[in-house]
Amino acid sequence: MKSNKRMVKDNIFKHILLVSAVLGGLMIAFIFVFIFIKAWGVLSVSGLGFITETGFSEQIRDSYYLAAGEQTWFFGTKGLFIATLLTTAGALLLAVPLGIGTAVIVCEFSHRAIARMLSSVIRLLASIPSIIYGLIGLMVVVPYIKDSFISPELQIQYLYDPIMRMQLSGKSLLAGIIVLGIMIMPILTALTVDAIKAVPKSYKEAGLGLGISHWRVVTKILLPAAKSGLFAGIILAAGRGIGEAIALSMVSGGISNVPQVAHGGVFFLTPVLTLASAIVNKSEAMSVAAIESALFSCGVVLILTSMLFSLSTRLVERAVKMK
Amino acid sequence: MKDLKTKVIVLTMMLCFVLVGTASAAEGIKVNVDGSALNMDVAPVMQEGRVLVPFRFIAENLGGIVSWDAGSQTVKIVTADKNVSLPVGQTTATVNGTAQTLDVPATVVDGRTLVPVRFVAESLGADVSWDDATQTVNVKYFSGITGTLKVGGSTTVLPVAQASADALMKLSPGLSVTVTGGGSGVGTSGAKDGTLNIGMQSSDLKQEDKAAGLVPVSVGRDAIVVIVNKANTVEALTREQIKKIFSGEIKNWQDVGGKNAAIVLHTREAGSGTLDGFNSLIMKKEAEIDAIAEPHASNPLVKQAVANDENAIGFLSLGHLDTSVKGIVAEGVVASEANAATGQYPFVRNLWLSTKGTPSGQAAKFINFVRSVKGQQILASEDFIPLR
Repeated sequence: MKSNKRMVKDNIFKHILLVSAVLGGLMIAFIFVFIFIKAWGVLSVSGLGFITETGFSEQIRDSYYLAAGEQTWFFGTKGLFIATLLTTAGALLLAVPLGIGTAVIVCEFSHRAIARMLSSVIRLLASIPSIIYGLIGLMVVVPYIKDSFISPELQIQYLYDPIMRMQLSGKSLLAGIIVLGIMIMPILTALTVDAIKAVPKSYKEAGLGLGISHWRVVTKILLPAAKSGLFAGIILAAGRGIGEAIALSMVSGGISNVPQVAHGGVFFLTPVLTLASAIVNKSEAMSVAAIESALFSCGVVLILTSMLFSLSTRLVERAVKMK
Repeated sequence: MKDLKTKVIVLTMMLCFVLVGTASAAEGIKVNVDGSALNMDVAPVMQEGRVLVPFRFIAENLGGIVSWDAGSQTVKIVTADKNVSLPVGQTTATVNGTAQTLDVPATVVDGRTLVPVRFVAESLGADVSWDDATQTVNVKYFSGITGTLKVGGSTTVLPVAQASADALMKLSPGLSVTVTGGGSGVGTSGAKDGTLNIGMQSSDLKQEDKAAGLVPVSVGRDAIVVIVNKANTVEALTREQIKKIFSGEIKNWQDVGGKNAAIVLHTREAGSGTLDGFNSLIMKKEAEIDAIAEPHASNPLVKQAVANDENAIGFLSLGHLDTSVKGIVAEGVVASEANAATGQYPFVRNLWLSTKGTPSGQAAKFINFVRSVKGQQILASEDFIPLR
């Protein structure tokens, strides 16, 4: 009798969980379907051109002043796509060494009290809203870039540039990379700390017992053993970078340029617009159906890219484990 | 206990009446418009059983634009659908061209012109009732409206119309207002063919549209000021120069009297009413803003960017101009609200709500709401220049 009651209870609980799981799944499916339906107008016309053609800023501007019947529904976000990849990759290049370095210091080379303080500071940094990073970027990073890399002559020169004219104001790819790098570093550090701490203590003790120096223990034993956690952290940080909108729209310039390698170092001073920032920046023009659909299409590209990233997390983890 | 209280109140009231007499400042008389009390600098006065109030207060809260004709000693009130003139000291008034008789004329008390609140409110189309217990005049105009209203057109006017519609629907839960964009042209054609009850325009109507029966009512003004950094030596520019600067034809400050430095353009994202204003007042479809100009999402962001870059140029709604940046003297006229109001300043445009034929019913009430004290506060908060 008693066990029967318990079975009923268990059953009820199981069903509640099932219902919430189904609801959660439905909600995700609904969001996907909703975004794809909204995006279809532009995606069906632009096709693959949506990520291989340029001119997004001008297309939005023109589309806003066209009547509903004259819309072409064609948009090209090559500049946005490239800027998204460049800012994220650049930020990772900046944040990975710094983040892992900080994590190693926290876990291995600092006094317990300092380590505890450092890790709480890092967790605090990881939870600061991105608009704050954007503001700091706007007030500190952008003026710094302008003062140190952009001369008045360079500014004049690029107003006439034959390849791609642009205004060098400090708001640039570089500012985006720096701000995004600073932003994702704490997340990377926190995840790396967890990964290093998850390595069994005996590994480290064995290494030290064999007389290997502490440094070599870290680089040859701890970090390789924590590899899968490290990769997961990097990919998570990359995901955050790809989806970051506010901070980047404040510092990166807001124009859908494709940075030109022929410009040399000025490549990094190009004002750019990322996919997520575009959705924020251009939302004022959403009353036009074609622009609304174009922004949802940016959303689709973002979702697909993030999905690729989370899939690759799984693959990397599997590959690392098989080793 | 309760009885005693009532007795005391009744007794005090009687005493008051005896002491105060028939014509005097009736302390404690309140005037409510759509449920909220009017705060007046001159207290309402009771005269021969009629409550008189300063004409500005009652008229402006119902969306009237008031004027005072000193020659004929006449108060004039104009709303979207009514035109009232009240000569001081006379018992005949004119409402939309027909003479009407009042039992108490408008009078001057302490240099202020007071008008009978019931007559004015009723001739503007409001319901007036007197609550003897609380000594309150209740004026009902923007509350209790029912039906639907379609408003559409200029995206510049849209935020004002939307916020006004929201406020009006709060006062009148039975009213449903939909506000859509599309541009001034859509507003004009929609109002003409009847798909819209009210069209919104940020450019003046063409003669042919007026001939087709469209009646535009002004709801405010939009003024654009071009700004530069305070360290910039350039003080004044012509429209032609500003146009050439923003289209990228003039790229260096030394070409307009400044130092040898690149001109850094700051503009607004598509969809901005200020950008709309800039394009129609300065670019005038003769040229387009250079695509390399840095786009911003709001007036304050443009201001911040220009304040921090010596070589920057941008533009704002006039309401946003402050000392952190320098307003450019345009065509020889300083950018100020006073100069915008007189029409001397060149970059000003009117904002219109228009209907087919003289507005009536809910459409008139909506337009009057936008022109009322509350509506004009909304308009000012959207960075436009109010009517008064």
